[in-house]
Amino acid sequence: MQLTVNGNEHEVDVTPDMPLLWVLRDELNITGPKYGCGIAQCGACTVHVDGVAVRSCQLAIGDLAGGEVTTIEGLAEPDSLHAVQEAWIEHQVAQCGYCQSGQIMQAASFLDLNPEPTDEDIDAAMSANLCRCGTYPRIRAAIHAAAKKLQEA
Amino acid sequence: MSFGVPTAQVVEVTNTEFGIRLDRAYIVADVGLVLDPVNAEAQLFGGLIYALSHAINSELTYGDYGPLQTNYHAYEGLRLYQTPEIEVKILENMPGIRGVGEPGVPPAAPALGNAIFAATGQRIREMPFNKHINFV
Repeated sequence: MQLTVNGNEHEVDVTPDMPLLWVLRDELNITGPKYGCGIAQCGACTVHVDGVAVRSCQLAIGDLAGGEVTTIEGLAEPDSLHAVQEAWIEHQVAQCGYCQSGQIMQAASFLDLNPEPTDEDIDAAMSANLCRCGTYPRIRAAIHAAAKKLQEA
Repeated sequence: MSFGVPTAQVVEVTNTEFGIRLDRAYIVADVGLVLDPVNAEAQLFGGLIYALSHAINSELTYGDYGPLQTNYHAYEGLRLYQTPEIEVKILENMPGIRGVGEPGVPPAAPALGNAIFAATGQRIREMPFNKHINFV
């Protein structure tokens, strides 16, 4: 099967029911997306398909239907960071870091759809991404900061 | 004294018609010498958030072969929409360098329990509290 990840085309020899997350991690060695729960409860595996955040543990590779996959590795331009990544660093959001690639991918996709979110918007968009370290206050702050950066860009 | 660190927490809640809503939380901890203030603050509010998960709704029960809660659908951690605004104040009066990872955890359930009592008159003495009261 063929798929495009971060602009690169790949050919993988897997069954169509293999979740995208497995293809990325085990076949392509793209390990930014994390396995957390496998049942869409945590969001650690979040990637973009055609720019929209999806749970890669729930999407069978056979259902990708030519959609272009972007992982945290491909979110930024080669020589600069995405505004969300910059804001994440400025606010020192990460603690253990395991959920953070999923959080950032979710936030980037959300800000694409809603460039000026309120706290309530952020709560609604980000509450399906679990963080057991409790980085939530800084996630909220970093998303507001990233929104500002994207507005000014 | 919380893991060797004098720590105090206050939680503010509102008793809404759909259940208890967490509005604000305050943490003050005297950790001795602070090496990394940005991380120290994160550890303390992270401890509070982790502990609120357990105070509100995370419980493990065991069957013959291990825990019955096999994944997050049955073992919910606190999520962003439930997270109160948190203010952290770090003091440096104690001698030495003390931990910041654990002290934020133990005071959270009592602080929440006190807030619920103040808001509703209900004294909850069993965790997780969602066995006895609803949360939004």
